[in-house]
Amino acid sequence: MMKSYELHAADSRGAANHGWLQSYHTFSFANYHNPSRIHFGALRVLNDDTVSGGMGFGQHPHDNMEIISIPLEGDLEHQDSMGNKAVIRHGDIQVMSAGTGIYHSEYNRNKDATVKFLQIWVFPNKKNVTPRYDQITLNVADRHNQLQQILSPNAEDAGVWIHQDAWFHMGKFDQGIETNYAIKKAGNGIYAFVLSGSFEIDGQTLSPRDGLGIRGAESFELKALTADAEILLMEVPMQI
Amino acid sequence: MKTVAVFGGNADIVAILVRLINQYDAAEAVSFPTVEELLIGNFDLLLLSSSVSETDEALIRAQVSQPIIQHYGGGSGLLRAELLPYLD
Repeated sequence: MMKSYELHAADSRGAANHGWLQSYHTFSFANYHNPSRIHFGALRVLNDDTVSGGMGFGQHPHDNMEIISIPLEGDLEHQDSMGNKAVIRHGDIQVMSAGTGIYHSEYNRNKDATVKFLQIWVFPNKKNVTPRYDQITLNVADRHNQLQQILSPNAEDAGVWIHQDAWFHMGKFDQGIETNYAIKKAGNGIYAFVLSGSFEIDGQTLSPRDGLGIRGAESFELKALTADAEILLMEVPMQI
Repeated sequence: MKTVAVFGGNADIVAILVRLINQYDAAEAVSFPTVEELLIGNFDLLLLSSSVSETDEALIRAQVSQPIIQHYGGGSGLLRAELLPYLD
């Protein structure tokens, strides 16, 4: 299979401004509908959310979805129908397997500071699993000039795990640092999302909040073009 | 106007999906508490929610001739994208 690329510029994302919530949707979500932006393989939702102080999402349900939250800034308070109550902040990764159904709420714990976080939904490889919740705290220093695994399909492996053959990595690089990523499972695609700075991947330049889907790759090179360049790589099955 | 049947084992989520679909101009929602009632119901599309047993789902997929849409996520996030291709 030939390598192919799907570039989603940051300003081409769907935008929703609810006052208390500013959200950018890489893929069709809620009232943003773009038939050419429904999903990238098993990656269905990539929402880039900013929540005003003290505000948040009231209790609402989810089912049959692997939901990963990555806080970028601020304190996000979570409470769910399984009895979990927790605060997640930068360096934490939260995962929920919604399965047969869960209720949860998410609020900005602080009244005087915004929360910024990514909410990512991945189609599960099995429907109607028993709901589960987990969160971990990672040492962000371990992603300096290298890729740090934050998610995999394996409970024993680094990071959180989900019901899908997916691997996520984050890395924060100094200018000029290059690294290689090798696909974990043949046939999977990679969706690269730039958090800050800019990168070059296979000759394509990516700026903050740009996304690049890569299909048909066994590996690829990425190079940080600026200082403090941070990226999230999401390897997912392309068949769902 | 299309009639969308919502079927699932999580009654709370089914009720939310019915309420959300009824907010659309091009669709109205109905729900059925049992597979037996679903199989004799009148509808244009079937939205399959969570907590349906593999046996029931196999029966539904074998006997329902209308388009079946698998719903993921349990709320408003993906619903519009799932339904729009089937609504006029």
